[in-house]
Amino acid sequence: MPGAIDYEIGKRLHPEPPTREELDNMKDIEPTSAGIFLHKLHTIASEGNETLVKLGASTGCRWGDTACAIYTRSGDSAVCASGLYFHSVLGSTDVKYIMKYWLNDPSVGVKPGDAFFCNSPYIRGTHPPDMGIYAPIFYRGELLCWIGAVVHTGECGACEPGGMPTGSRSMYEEGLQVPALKIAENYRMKEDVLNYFNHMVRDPRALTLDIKARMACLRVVEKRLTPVIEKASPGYFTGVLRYVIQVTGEAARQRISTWNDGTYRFVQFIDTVGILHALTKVAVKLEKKGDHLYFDYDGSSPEVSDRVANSPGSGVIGVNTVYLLGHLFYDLPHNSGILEPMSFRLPDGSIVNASRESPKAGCAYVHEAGSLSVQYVLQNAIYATSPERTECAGNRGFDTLSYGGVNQYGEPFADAGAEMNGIGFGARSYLDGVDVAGAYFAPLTSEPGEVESLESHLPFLYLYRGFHQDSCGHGKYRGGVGMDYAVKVHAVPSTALGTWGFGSLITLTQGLFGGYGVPALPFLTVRGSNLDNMLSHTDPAIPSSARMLYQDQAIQGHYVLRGYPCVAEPTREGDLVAGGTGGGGGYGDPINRDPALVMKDLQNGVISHWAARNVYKVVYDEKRLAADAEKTKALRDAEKQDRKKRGKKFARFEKEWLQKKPSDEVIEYYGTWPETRYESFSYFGQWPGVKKGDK
Amino acid sequence: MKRIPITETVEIDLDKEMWCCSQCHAEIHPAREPYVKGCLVYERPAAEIYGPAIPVKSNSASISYAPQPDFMRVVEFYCPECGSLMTVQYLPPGHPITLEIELDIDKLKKKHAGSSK
Ligand SMILES: [Zn+2]
Repeated sequence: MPGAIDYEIGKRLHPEPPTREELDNMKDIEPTSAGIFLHKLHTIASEGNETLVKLGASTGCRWGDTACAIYTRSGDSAVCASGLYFHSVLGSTDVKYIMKYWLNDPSVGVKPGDAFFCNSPYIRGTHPPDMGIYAPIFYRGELLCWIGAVVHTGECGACEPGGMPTGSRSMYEEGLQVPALKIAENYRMKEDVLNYFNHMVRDPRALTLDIKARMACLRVVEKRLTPVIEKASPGYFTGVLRYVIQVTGEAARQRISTWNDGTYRFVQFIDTVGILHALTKVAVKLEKKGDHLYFDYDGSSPEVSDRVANSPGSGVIGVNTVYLLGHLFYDLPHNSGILEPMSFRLPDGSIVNASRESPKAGCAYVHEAGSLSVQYVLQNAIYATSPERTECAGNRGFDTLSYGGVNQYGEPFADAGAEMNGIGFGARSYLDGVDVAGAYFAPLTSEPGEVESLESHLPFLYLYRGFHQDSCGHGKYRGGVGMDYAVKVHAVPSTALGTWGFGSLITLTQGLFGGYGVPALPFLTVRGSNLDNMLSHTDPAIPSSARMLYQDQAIQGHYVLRGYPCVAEPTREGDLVAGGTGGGGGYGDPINRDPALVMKDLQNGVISHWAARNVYKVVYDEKRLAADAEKTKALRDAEKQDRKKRGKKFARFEKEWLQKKPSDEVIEYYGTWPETRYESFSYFGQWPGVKKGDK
Repeated sequence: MKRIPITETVEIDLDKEMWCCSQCHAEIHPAREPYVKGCLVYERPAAEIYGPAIPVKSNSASISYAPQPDFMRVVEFYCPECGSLMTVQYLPPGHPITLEIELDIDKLKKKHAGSSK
């Protein structure tokens, strides 16, 4: 059935069973030499990823939201460079689609020198800006494996600039969506295809350069890989690709078996449904049995068929590999094998597993909320045996600018802001989280970009960037803080500016074991500001941080609170937009934090005096920043006594608590209050009592 | 007496099958149920953690770092004995309390049966 809309392919994220040939080729593998060989492959993939970053033009490509991977012939991700593991793992469904539909189709086929472009949300499970190009690797006419280069390119011709529209009402407003199209043949780009793509988007320059960067990456990898395959033998090479996937699964299984069996639950909320502020929920229940994990998303909110609130499903699962491979199992090889000891049950017609036509531009919100729930059920499961691996979530809101227009050189531009790569990471059981660490989804490689570089091609003047004070979750160990920023429209009459992300009305990243979650994140515009005038005479009242801007309000103009997300709207020269990314969750009771660390945070401006006194309960000399140990202990003891006084017994509290309810407006899209139950599910991986092929 | 740490803030006394506080070791709740049921619970005004809202001078808006109360509340769980903060849940008003951990106690006992007393 060529060209089919395939609802099953997205469910094939787990590794395929090994082929007879692969099993044969695995027989003689010796672990040490395989390790050395795999290191070689990883180095090749890393060189590919470097090529991608060096040559790309979009925000995502330049600042490291990239992945380069080697896939088995049947499409399982075996070797991955970069931190964007979910792009690598989700790419396997793209390759599986090509193998299923185009390999033997006489009008398409797969030949040496081919490359396929893929960005269909329903196949790869994420939004259209996530674009992958995949190329087959042949040896003496035989298809051995696939290589892939995946990047978030931002602008993709959706109904708003920057690729992630807030206001789209169906998939048909979300721009270019391509299910595996041949973009190169015989090592040549097909100019007609590229030309077609360029006519569909606002920023053809970035799209073209990113596509060419992917092609260059794939060519570098192929060039390096071919002699390595030749030297080792193609059989050994394909055997090792399957071997590393199996080793990863087995090692994960072994570690999982040491954790305590039980049931673990977590719920995370999202405060945006398209342009509306309303609640949805992602619920995760983990059943841990022996060496297997069963994640159940029953209870999550129903699909919103005409608003940006949904995920296609496979992305909900794939995104967990960011945490699993980048954090919890960082010391295992990074590939699809990690999913082998894990199964997932997603309710059909829910925001975590929505039908094809509903908007998917906001799928990242669902992915971030879901991956936070998964991380937190796991923290409760692992602490007993692996306290050193226990870690709060890094910020999950994606909060960043979205923009588009004509820049100071008269060239079109459209993208998402690099600020999304400046979140704080979560606190650990023994250490604070990293401040302004990167992006959640690419913990190793992403960075928020250099202001000078951004200003050189965007019509923006950055007023400031810095530690976003108090944006962390407070705790015995605090989360890393995010980054605050303010941008003035500069050297153009007007440009479209908005935001993407969520968490302006809720705590989107929670803490652990008594640690707090992050604050709600304001975002505002100052329209008709007198900033150009202030800058012309270097006015000392020009703010240098969000706190200073909000508290002093020294800039004159009309302050409009807009929040995350808000649709891009015309913003004039001289107008200011200001906001900040969130920090990571806090770990443990904040009144157990070493007062000396609180003083250090004050010195660095990471937390406010208000928080030092009111949250951390430290008594100190404000001038010398010296804590008074005795008075601090007394204040903290008094707080503990006060907690005992104000706390109610669970049953009494619950009785009163359950009488409360959000307003109807807030839960309009939430589903049945307080819990939606489903009858039909999609299964990823084996599930007790469910046969393969069952719905 | 054998106490097994489960999280930073709670442990289980396997002989008595009780959740205990990791700070003061007081017995909190039967181990076969979620420990949150043995805690003292309090809905904390969010501004006490995130600070007061800042009014905008030129209009009626205000800039807030605290979650909006119609969307989300902060629920704190304390050790009834020593007042340690065991866990914090962020929930819409009236949303059922999350029963975070239910352990398979028989398995846990088996696992620790071999180790020294
Ligand atoms: Zn206690």
